[in-house]
Amino acid sequence: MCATCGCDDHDVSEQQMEHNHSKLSREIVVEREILHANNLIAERNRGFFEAKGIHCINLVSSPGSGKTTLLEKSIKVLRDQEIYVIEGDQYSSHDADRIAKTKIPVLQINTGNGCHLDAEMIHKAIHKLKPTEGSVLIIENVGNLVCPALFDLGEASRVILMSVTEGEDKPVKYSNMFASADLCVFNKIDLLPYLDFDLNKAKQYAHTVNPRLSFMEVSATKGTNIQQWCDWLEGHVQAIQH
Amino acid sequence: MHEMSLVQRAIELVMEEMNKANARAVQEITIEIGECAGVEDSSLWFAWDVAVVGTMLEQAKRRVQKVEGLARCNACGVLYELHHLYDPCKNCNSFDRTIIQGDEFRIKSLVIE
Repeated sequence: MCATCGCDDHDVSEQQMEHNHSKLSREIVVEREILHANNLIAERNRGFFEAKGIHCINLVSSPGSGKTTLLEKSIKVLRDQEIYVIEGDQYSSHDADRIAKTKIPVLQINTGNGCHLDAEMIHKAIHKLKPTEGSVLIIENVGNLVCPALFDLGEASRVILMSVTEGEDKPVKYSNMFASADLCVFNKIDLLPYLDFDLNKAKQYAHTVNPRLSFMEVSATKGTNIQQWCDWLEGHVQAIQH
Repeated sequence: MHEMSLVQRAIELVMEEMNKANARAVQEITIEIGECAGVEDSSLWFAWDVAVVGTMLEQAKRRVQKVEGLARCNACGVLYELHHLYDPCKNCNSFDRTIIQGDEFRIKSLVIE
């Protein structure tokens, strides 16, 4: 073992190891989380949302699960509820353009080579969007079940949208994401009669990584159970404000 | 690949520590990675080799301390090894648990000069 830093490298002899350290070198203990800076900004965002009574949702899914369609449908139902949307995509403003047609404030973030949104992007976005008290802020994250899992944005609820055209075992394959979610919404349930997808099995898988996860079943294109989803969104705004 | 973003954050954190310590080079960096942290070693080091070029970490030797996953069952209270987030309690098979260790992703220490 090296006497300078206590390191233990079996490929290098003790004598060589000593020589690797100059006499001026010293060890400093850091003990800091690598995502510490992101987590601090996320807490700042969360404090802002709580103070303003804003229900902020981080909506995550694989690409093509129907996040934008779900939002378009929800906005039509929630006419009396103020809603703001932040769209995260690697490139293009296609999703933001779709949301803008519903006449609600929307901001597109392009992550370029990045595969997720982070707390600082959201911090900057809320300065531009300026969501009002008692509103719902929906962040549509980049379609990806791996990377966004580690990045807290300051949301009150993390919602996973999983379409029934995906595999039932997705919750265990992407366990970090499912472990960190509050609600799992199954989408495209109108297609269930044509698929081998076993909804109960998918729920069982999800509960192995997160026994507290709640479920909802919707079809965004057909409008099935959209009211239930919208009630959940509004219910949380009321809960935050009281 | 979120590992690139993680590496960039690690570099920023090291630079902060270097400034505080008035250091001019990093000889070694020790990173702690938990078994259930959602960080893939091979991807991390692939990104690392690209990201550290031209930084004070370019020549630094890297060391990894793996932390085994450990959970306490919320149903029966038993401590058990958690290798995957879907592992049940070995005593009562419940999935309701509190992670005690294994979700770490932190810089432990630096050898600087």
